[in-house]
Amino acid sequence: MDAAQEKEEKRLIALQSLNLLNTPKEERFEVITRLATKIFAVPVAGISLVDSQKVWFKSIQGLMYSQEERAASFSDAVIIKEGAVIVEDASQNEEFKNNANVTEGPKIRFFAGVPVRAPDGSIVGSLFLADRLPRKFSDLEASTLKDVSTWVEVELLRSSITYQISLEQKKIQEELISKNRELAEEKAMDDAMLANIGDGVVGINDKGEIIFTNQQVEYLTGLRQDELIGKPIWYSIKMFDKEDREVNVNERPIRNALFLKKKIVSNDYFFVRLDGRKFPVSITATPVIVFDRVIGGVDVFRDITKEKEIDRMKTEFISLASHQLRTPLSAMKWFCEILLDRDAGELTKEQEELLTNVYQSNERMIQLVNTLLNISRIESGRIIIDPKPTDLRKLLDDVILEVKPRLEKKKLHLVISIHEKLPLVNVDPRLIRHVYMNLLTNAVKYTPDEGEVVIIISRMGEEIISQISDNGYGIPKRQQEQVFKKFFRAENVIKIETEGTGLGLYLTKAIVESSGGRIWFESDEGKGTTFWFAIPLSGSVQKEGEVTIDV
Amino acid sequence: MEKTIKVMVIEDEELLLQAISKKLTSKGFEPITCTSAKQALDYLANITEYPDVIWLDYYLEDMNGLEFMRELRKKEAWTKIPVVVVSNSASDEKKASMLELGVKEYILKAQYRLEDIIQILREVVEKK
Repeated sequence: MDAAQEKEEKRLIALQSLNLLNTPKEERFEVITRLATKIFAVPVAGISLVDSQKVWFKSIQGLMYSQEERAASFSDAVIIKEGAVIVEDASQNEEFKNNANVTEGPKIRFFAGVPVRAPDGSIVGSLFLADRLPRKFSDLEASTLKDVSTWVEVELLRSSITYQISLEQKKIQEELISKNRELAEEKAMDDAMLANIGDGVVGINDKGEIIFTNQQVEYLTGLRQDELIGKPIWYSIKMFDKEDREVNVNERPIRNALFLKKKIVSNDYFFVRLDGRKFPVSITATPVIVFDRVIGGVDVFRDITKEKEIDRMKTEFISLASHQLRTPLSAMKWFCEILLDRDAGELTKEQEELLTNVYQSNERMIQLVNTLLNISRIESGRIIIDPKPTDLRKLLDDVILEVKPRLEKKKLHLVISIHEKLPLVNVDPRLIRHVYMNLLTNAVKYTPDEGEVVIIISRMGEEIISQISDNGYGIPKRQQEQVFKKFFRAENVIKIETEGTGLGLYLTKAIVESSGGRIWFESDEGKGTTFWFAIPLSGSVQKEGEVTIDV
Repeated sequence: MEKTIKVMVIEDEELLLQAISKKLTSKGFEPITCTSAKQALDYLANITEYPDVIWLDYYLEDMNGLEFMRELRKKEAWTKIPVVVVSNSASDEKKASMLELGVKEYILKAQYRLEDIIQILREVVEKK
């Protein structure tokens, strides 16, 4: 493409973007051409727009044409010249005397045209005057015509802006339509999901008024959707606790979720349907937060009658089985004891060794039953948490006294450091004793002879942190994630220490957490392990229950 | 010579009863074995020289420990016999109500060696 072609391209694009080609007459242009005929006293005045093949007259006075061929038109001459074209007598002009507009048709003799430019500067047409008679055209007249053409250019600018705006509007409208369609599709998808989901879903605004519900909600509450929409959730969907008391608005999970800006899960409450059926529900209350502002929330609930029932059956089964196991375990323990005590006659050395093996295996079984019972107690939530001001130093001393024989047998070095002004903490001593016992016996068990065990109790901010370290076998890196899982035993110690249920740390973690604390560890295989557990200075929360640990 | 201590053992598991009785005998005690609460109560009703202590299993086929203790409290003379409960399960609540009814010790069965329990019995009798 050469430079001229490029210029022409640009010109045509500028022309197109005025959106004026082949459009009806407009008064804002008419007024200019009318005025031009009067100012210059000519019969013909017009505004031409030069397209690739045609010339369009946006406005013309004195002629009926609305368009003509571009080739050999006077307007094209203005484009080519890129400046004013003045022809005082076409019949005497070499360039135009054979022009079709001169020899026939309007038989033009006089022509004066000045370029009009689009906002980008391209010449898109001309403002011209014409007459069938030859006439003089002074420099003053030429400059006046040029002045009038700036008016035309202002109008072109206006057209261009209007067109751009209309394009933008169209684009926005199209986007809006497509957005609306997307939204409609999403809504259809959401509706289908909400309707077919097994859980009840209620959406509320920041005032707690229900803005949507799904069909499950109707089933679970016995209330119709139109009875719920617009009403505050805390007054329309009632919740009850174990003792049949209605849950206070301030204790409702969804209320707390909005207030605390965090998700709240609860399995402690009940719904009562209109027909009076009371059933346990699992509730997940989530705040909807936009730019750090809570704009509402979503409450999801599910009937967990079956889960509760299965859970109860499981717990009962374990409890029953464990108690039943204790009778034969006691019989074995006691008969072995009688034999070992020589109450039934002398034993050979070998018989004594064999019987001791039986006795010890039986002891392991008793221990396993105890642990299983404790787990079933803590999992069933039936455990009592009975906090009282406790001196951890004294608690730990008792535990150490009990573990001492094992420490001495392995010739382990024990280092203890306890914060000098350790305050009393409000915890359930039976539970925390269990934690120390478990962590300390683990340290002793998984440290080779003549190793070291370190116990540190310190105060850090609002917590009391107990640390139990050893320089023993450690836990392999790849297994560290599973340490607190049920029945986990690390593969590097399973052969060294065959005894172990894999339940100790699981139970310990459950105890620490139900006491309001947290537990964590670090370990290097071959170098040792450190466990920490933290209890808040504020202590554990009292909990009613049915059972305690180790009974 | 010291007086032989008489222990009434109420335990419905034959095997356990056998073990307990053997150990008691070898330790120089005189066991009176009963496999049900009814048997024990009948026995008590027909003697004048009461046992020094009762070893009671909580769960018996014909009644539980609570019911047995209530029966025992019906006769003034019987209430003077100390009772040690040796049971498979011991919730705090159960333990508390049994101690309230006059039980001296509440022991979890599988946790103790016979010898330890017998030591506890001896102490209970000596304190009487």
